[in-house]
Amino acid sequence: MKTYSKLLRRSIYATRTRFFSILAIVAVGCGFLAGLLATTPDMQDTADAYYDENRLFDLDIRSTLGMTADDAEAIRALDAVDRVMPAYVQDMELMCGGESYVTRVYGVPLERHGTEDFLNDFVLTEGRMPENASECLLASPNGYAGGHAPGEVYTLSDDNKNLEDLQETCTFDSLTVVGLVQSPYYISIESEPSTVGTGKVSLVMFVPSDAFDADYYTDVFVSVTGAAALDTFSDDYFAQIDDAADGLETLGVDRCEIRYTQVKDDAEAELADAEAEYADKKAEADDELADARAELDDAKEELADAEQALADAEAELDDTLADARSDAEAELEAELADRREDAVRRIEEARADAEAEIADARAQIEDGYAQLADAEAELAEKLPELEDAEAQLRELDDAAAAVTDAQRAELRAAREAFDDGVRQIEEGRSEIAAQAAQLEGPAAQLREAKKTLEAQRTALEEAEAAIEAADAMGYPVPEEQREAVRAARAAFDAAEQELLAQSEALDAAWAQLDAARTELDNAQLRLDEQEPALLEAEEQLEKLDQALAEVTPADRAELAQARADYDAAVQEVADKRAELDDAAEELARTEAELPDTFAEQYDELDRALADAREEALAEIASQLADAEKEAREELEEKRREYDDAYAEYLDGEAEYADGRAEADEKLGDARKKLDDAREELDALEYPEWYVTDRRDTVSFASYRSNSEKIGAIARVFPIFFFFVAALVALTTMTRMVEEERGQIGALKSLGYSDGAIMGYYIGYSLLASLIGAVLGMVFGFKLLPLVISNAYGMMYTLPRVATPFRWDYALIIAPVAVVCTTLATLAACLGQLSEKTATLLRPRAPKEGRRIFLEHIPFLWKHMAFTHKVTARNIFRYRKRLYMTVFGIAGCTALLVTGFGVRSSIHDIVDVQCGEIYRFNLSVYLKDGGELAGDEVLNDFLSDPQAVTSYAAFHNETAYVEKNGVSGQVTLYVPEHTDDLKDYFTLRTRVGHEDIPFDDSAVVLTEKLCETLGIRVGDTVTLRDADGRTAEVTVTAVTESYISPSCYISEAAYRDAFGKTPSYSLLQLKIPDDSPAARDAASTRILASDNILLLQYTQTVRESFGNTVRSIDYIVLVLIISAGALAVIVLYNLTNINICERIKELATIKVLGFREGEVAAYIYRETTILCLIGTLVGFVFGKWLHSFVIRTAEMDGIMFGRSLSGTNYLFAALVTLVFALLVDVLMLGKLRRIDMVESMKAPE
Amino acid sequence: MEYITLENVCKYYKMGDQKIVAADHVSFEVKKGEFCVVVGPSGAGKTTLLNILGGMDTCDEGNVFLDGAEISRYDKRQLTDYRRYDVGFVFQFYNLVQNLTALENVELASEICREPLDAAEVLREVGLSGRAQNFPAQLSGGEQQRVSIARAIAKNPKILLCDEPTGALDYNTGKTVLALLQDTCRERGKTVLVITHNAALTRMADRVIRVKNGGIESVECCAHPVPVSEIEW
Repeated sequence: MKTYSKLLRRSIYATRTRFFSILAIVAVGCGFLAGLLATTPDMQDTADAYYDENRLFDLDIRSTLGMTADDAEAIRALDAVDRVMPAYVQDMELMCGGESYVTRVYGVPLERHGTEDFLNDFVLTEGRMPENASECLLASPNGYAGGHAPGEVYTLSDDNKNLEDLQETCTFDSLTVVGLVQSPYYISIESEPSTVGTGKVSLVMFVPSDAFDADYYTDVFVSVTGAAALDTFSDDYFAQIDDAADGLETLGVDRCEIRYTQVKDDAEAELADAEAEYADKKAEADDELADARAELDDAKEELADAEQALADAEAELDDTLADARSDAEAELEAELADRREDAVRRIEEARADAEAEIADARAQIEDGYAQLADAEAELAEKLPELEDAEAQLRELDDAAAAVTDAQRAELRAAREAFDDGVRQIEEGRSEIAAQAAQLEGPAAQLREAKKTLEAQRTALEEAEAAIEAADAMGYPVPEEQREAVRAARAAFDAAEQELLAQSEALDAAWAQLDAARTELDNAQLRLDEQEPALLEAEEQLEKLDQALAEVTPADRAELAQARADYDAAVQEVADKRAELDDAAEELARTEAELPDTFAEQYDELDRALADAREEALAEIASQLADAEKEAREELEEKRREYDDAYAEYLDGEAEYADGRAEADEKLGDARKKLDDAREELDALEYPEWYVTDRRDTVSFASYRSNSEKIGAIARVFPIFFFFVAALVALTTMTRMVEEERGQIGALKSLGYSDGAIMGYYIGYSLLASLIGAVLGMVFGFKLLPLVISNAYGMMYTLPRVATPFRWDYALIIAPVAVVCTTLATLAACLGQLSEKTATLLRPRAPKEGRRIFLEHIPFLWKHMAFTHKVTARNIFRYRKRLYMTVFGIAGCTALLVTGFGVRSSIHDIVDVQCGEIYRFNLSVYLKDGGELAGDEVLNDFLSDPQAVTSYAAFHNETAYVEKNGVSGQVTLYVPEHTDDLKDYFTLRTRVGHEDIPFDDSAVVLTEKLCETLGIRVGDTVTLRDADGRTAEVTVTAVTESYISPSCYISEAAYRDAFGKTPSYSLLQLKIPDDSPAARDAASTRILASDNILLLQYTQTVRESFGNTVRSIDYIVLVLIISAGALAVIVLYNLTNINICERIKELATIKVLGFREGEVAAYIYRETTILCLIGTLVGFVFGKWLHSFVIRTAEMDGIMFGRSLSGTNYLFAALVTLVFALLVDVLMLGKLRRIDMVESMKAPE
Repeated sequence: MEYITLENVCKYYKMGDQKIVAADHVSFEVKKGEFCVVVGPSGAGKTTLLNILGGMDTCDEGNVFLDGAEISRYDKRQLTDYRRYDVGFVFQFYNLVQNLTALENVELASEICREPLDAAEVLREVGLSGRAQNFPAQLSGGEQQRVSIARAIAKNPKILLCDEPTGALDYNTGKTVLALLQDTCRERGKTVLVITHNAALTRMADRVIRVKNGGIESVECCAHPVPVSEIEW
């Protein structure tokens, strides 16, 4: 055995890759199974522990009339009840920092926090506990309202519709946050619904009990005996809770009666007291008012008398004053007449004096004029003499002035020019004379030369004549003589010519001289002509200068004096005349003015008299006015006294009226209150207890369904892993057994039994799978729940998930895994061991090549490169590997298809349901019997086009559909107007989207319901309403719908079925603005109505689903990782075996000169084709798996998308191929390292 | 320089701390068209020489030339091309691809060469036209070795390297195979190197190279080689 274990150890070391591949696939399989299985219990255990630790209520009892301490005691007395905590819980809108929050305020005995009696406890995460009624703890659900901190101060918002009641109940003015807490009640980010404000609770507060002043409790929280020990998600727990709830409901019947009687009696008594009080008060008020009336009437009479007296006094005063005025005026007129007479006399005397004075003055002026006339005559005589003298002098001066200096200069220049001309002529004459003298010499010579020449001529003519004569005579004349004569003739001609020339030159000179002389003569002539004029001018000038010299300056002065004297005399005369004229004029004016002057005086007189009159009259008036004023004041005083009295009277009247009104109002109010109270009392409904449990809270329900969903998915996937793990073990072990064929033979031949040999291989695989299972589970139990619950951590606030190693699961998983692989190993061994020992000792005959079906299709086969042929043959040669790979890859692809598919199935339905099928944005549920007709607030809102696009009313009730004894719950929708329905709900078939008509006979059911109950179109089903009435209806269509199972039925069909009239208490609204702010605003407006039961926004539904989808993303990630692990392990294993088994073949083709790429392709082509086949098979598996998972994961009433899209497949295939590629790359190195020497080795 | 030339080729292996000399300054030459037999006992270094000459291994020292090209300087890639185009290899255990028919096995080699001979024709020449569509498992050893030779010839290589071609064959079959090799050499003028431990084969060779302890013991040239049919062993 020692050798045996040594062999095992060595064998494991030698084949560690193989060992690890078995180990790994088992680890992955077990890990995922363990992890996925443990996630649900881990998450639920964590929540359960959290709930137990904080004593989350098991049951919550509410009564329509509130609960009393007695109720609480009665509940506590029940056996099933462990502990009881009554509380006052109130939803209200609180303001902080300008924002309004819908807050659920718990009034609880905080002093008992942390003790056993304090249910719904919480964990204080920050701050401290409140110390008085105006301090609070804040638990914002899941911290998602975010950013709240101790120190914030909240006050009641004025928007609260029951503000008065709240102010009455709340003892605090404001609430200061002193601590933050985490409450197990509120673990989800999804909000609890509320009927206040926006319709959802956004903050939760805990305040001390005394923050509310109420004589009853709203809730009694109960913990059920023994429930804490149970898993809160288990059926046992719910059974126990339901039992307890039944007991409580039974108790509730009695307690309700007591409570009802109590409330009713109290109210009756109170009402009776109030009635009595009212009667007293009314009588009292009436008496008081009657007294006041009488008093007022007396006063009124007195006032009338006083008024008469006043009127008399006023008339008397007027008469007295008129008399006094007329007397005073008569006296004044007489006095003024006297004064006027005196004044007239004085004026007339003054006029006579003035007229005498004027006559004197006129005489004097006449004298003056006479004297003046004499003086003027004298002057006139002197004037001609003076004027003559002045004229003479002026004439002389004028002449002198006429001869200007320029003329004088001109004259002088003329004289000089004349003298120059004379001189030049003289000089010219003398020069001509000189020239003539000069010419006289040559002329004499010339005359002399002429004489000589003439002599010569005579001699010469003689000689010539002699010769001629000789010739004629015929004497021979010697040639010498002739020559001499001819020479003399020539000389003579020349001399004559020269003399002629000289004579001409001399004649020309004479002619020049004569011309010059003539010119001079002409000049002399012109000068002679000018001379007399020049002389005359000079003479005249001389005469003038002489005359001027005769007149002396003294003469001039005398003349000027004479003129001045004369002028002065004339001026004097003129002045005197002007003076006289002025005096005469003055006189004339004075005379003319005289009548005016007197008229003025008369006017003045009259004015003075008028002034005097006025003054006197004013004085009279003033005196009279003073008198009147005094009298009037006296009268006025009396009048005021009267007015005061009257005002006093009016006040009295007003006071009386007020008193009357006040009394009436008070009494009216009191009456109304009494009537109201009576009415209320009459309407007092019999109370009812509502017992709810954890399932009715949003947080718990959501957490429960989400954690269970994972459980459903977990049950499916690991089957694949186990299947593939078995296949991996089978192929690996088969290969191992084949490799060690010789060893098996040797052992056998040595006498080892088959069992012992098999034991060795089983030990090998057992060890691998056991280690793998343990490792896988260690990681699986710890990691997966953590990953998945972290994904949910976004939605839920919980303590960190506890991940224990779950032995109960482990003890099932590990054996199953080990058994699977062991069986596979057994199968592999049995094949070999059945052979004879001798055969085993020989090398195994090489596996025959075999023709495959493809070769019988020559068209295909001939067109394949034979490397492809090898691939094709190899694929079919090793069937085990074919299956392993195809299944492994198919599993991988299927997981991915499922993962992507699940995600889009859930994602898509939200879009389809909320975007396509629900065509409204908002559902408004009215309270029971709520009527839209009388609700102004709601009608205002609905008719505001800015807020509401359109709306329609529906009847809405919960009913049941039954078929073959199986029933399913549905929501009935009956449209008020049949045609409206399709505007708010899309009716169509899921496959093909064919439109479904809705008419008066229509009964349309949703798909999921029909699927569950096996209902088809045309079937007759039983409809049962909430009151138990039943009706048979025929289903006209099945429509696509995912979320809530519904039955759309026309009004006519509804009436036919149930014989009752629908009440349209559901409004479906389309709103133009679906933003969060607009939704909050709309909620606030709608909830201002008292008629509203519930608001539900389609968008909110959508968002809540969106959160679920986000967490599914993590599950998809887990799936991708697991699928990847699967693909990698399977492919690695396959390739590894392929290479090992065909190492010689590969070495050979390397020797043949195949390149690296070609060698790799030789192997990988096979893997790739298998991968592709596996992927295709995976699509089929995936489709099946997806539909399985979807159906398993579907919750009550919800249907997920059933179809897979092309992208789901595409992504799955891509991810698979990426993993395959990864393995190929990993194995390249191994291929590269194959030694060609292997080809030389003998076959195994 | 002759067609094949080895000059001072050395090859060492390391085994632990020990250095084993597999080839110790080996030098010889082979003329073109010669039928050369390398003979020696097991472990003498025959296979090492074959590996080096076949481009499957490299020498640590010395130079190897074939047809003027220095193989000993080739890198990995050039060696692959060398094997692909210049060398035909005949293995002791035939090394046929089990999954291919006889004809396909020949094509496997010819498909990657530059100027291959027609596979079916070569197969006919080695006398196997009738078995062309059979898988190796359906052929006898001699037939398999003939397929192997056909595969080597079809590549139209410069040299044919045969590693104990008759090692796994019985006497008569061995002879047929050797005759085929000799004919190939004579008729096609291929240079053939046969590595064997069977000294009897030396008589059919143009040149005999005896190897011992990693070194060359002797190189002999025979002017008149004997046809295989006349050789007995």
